[in-house]
Amino acid sequence: MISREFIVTTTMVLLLFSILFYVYPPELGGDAILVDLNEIADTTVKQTTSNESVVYFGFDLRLGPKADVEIYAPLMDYLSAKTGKQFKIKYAETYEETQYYLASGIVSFAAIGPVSYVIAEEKYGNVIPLVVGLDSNGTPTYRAVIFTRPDSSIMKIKDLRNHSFAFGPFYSTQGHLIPRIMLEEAGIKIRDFKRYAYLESHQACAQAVISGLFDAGGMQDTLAYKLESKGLIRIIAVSKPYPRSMIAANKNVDLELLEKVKLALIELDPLGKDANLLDWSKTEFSGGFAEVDLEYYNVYFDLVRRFIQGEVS
Amino acid sequence: MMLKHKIAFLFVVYLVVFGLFNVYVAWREVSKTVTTEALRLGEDMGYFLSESLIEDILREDILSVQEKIEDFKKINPHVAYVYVISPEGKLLAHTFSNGFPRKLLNFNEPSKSPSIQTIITQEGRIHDVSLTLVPGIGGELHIGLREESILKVVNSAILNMMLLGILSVSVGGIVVLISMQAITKPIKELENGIEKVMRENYAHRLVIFTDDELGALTKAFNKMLEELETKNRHVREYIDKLKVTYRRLKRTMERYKALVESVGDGIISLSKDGVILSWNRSAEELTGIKRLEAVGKRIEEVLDIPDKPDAEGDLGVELSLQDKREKTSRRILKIFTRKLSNEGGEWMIILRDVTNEVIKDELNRKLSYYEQLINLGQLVAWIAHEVNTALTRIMLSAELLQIKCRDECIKARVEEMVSIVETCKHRIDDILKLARTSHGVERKLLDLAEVIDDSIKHCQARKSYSEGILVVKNYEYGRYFVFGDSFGLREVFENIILNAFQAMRDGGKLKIEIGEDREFMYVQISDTGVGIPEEYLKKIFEPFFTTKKREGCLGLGLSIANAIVKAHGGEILVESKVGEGSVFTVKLPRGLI
Repeated sequence: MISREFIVTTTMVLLLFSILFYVYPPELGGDAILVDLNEIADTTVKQTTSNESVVYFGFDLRLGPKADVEIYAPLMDYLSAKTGKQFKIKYAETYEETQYYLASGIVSFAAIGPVSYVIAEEKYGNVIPLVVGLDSNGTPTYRAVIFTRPDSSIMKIKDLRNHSFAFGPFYSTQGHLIPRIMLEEAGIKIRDFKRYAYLESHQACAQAVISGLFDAGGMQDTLAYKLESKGLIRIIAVSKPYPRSMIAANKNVDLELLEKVKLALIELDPLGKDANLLDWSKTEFSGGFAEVDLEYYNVYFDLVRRFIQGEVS
Repeated sequence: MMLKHKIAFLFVVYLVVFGLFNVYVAWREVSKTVTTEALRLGEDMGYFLSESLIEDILREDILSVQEKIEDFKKINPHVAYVYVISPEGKLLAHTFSNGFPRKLLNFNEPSKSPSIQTIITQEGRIHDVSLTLVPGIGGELHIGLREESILKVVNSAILNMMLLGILSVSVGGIVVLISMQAITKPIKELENGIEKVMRENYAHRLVIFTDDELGALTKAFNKMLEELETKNRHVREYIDKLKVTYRRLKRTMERYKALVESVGDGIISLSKDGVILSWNRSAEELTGIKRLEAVGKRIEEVLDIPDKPDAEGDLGVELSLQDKREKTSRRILKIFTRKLSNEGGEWMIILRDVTNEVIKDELNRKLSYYEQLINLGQLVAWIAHEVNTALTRIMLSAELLQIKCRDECIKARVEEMVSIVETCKHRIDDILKLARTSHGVERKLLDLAEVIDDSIKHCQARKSYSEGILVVKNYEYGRYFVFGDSFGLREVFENIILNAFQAMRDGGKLKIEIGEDREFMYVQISDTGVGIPEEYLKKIFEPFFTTKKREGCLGLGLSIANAIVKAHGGEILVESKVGEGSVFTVKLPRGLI
């Protein structure tokens, strides 16, 4: 005969588990949805929301597409959070593209070197420097170096005559303009080289010299010191300090947004609270940013006309 | 259900409960693990793949992207599909052979971190892991991971867990069965012990098997048995004493009961609330109410006692009850109350038969009254005789003076004086008649019809009374004879008939009829007059009671009539109704009294 205890206990157990399974159903993978793989889409474009709130950010290619995107992606998140706008990278394969995007307003802001700024301003007249990058000492200048392989017989700039030479990108300040100034100051013309070339990035330049494709090269100081510390290159000359790269803006950007972005960038503290935001050592602003006057970059206008636009023309 | 079965049942229940709970928890854990594992796997794969795709995406080399994701799918059997959506929201590449499924286009969008969503397809359950294609730029990379592949990793763990569970349950069950025997043995012993105690075998002692709680329980049980044995002995001794006391009490009670039953007084005991508790035999005899009829009822329902018996003492009530044995007589009871000196606040009522004492007192009182009445009658008769003699002389002198006197004035005065003297003589005659009745009447055989007819004639001679009245006679001569005084009886009938005439001043009917039975003759005289009010009926035979004082009545007529009839050994009965008339019945004994 079934006892009362049996009925009560069994009922309670069943009730308990019914409630448990009802409240927390042990469904694998959460709520699954049915998808018919044979029901084919008649379009290949997503129903996306309006892009009005997206602010595009461009940059001069320095280390390579992937490396540069990886550097700037966290900065986009930072700016989005600070301004309430969605910041996205607009990749440009060349410096000219970046200059065009910035001047035409396709991108509102861009991390560019002084050469790109001068060319964009002279060519389109629609760009302003927003903040200047600082090195880890808080200095708003940088230098370029001329380097060779460690086992090279080239010991000074003057020894470069009749050797092959690798520049960085044509519109690079540190990879082309400043090394040209240094060569000029040492009395070396580019026609004195056995051969020379403009490579797509500072990394490519270093790689070309290290691999022996070129006898010497000109590049930015930060990367050069890192490579030298590893014994991969030997620096034979360091330039004078020149104004560092900047974050420039299109003149038509909303003033409020402009101020917000400027403030957010100045507030960045790569040596303190924002040290982990991105790999600052790979950037031209390892010490953060500082406000800058328009006149700060005037020094470059003549140099660009002589060494860059003159060449081009 | 046996205890061991209960324990086994409880064990099984708990096993099932915790087993189910474990299965549930394991299920959830497996579910969580599968999801987590799928997400982790998809995330790793996604980062690896997106790294290799970034430059192609930036350069918009779609063919390279397509090639790379197809290669990726080939070398990863867990992967069901891969597809890439550009930052602009355009489908760049996918690995579906029959075209891109519609539902997957706007689906499982990644936020800052990778996202996972389970889908059910024709190819089974698939976990779609999505992540941002190029950080800072956007785009989506979706990798579909087959659940069955992931489950293979955890299946062996689940199987091991289940086997371990089954093994644990089996071992646990065996252990419980063995333990059950050990646990229930002392309990069985305890049960046997309790059965023996129930058969009053307090000398039995249990065997102590263990030193645990059951052992302690067994020891306590043995101790309890010892105490029970001792207390049982004491109880038996106490019961024996109680039995002796009970027998004594019973004898005492029987004595008291016999005493109460044997007394002549009725003894009734009452509760505090007046409910009858006992009713002795004398109470039955005195009241005629049986014990069974009285006990349990309230005293007011059984006896008509005017005052409540709530004060100790003589209630002073004499209860007059019809004696059921002798219906013609009544019993007169005197009631006493006494409060019983017990805790219940009970009362006792004592009924004492005082009928004989009361009758004796009444007879004595009547005797004394009659003696006084006789003396008074003799005195009155003597005075009346003396006065009558004097009045006779005054009358003779007055009549003589009336004859001889010439003065009319004086003559008129004398005539008035003669009239007053005649009235006085009549009154005195009445008094003498009343007095004479107390000495007895002269008796001789009389025809009642003749006496009544003489009375009617005499009354009808007084015209002022008999006018307008129809007299109906319903008797015959020579049939109704009595021994009596003819003058007395005539006086009786005349009094009654004259009263009837006076009651029918506006006319009416007087009916006279004679009846008889073995002992009495009945002369019934009924009129249709004004009738007699009920409050006067008891007084009409009292001397000097009259409602006609203004007419000069002395109020002795009916008293004389009643006295004459009583002197004959009869009585006058009256029935009357105001406005309808009266019936006077003269009842006379047939024979010589």
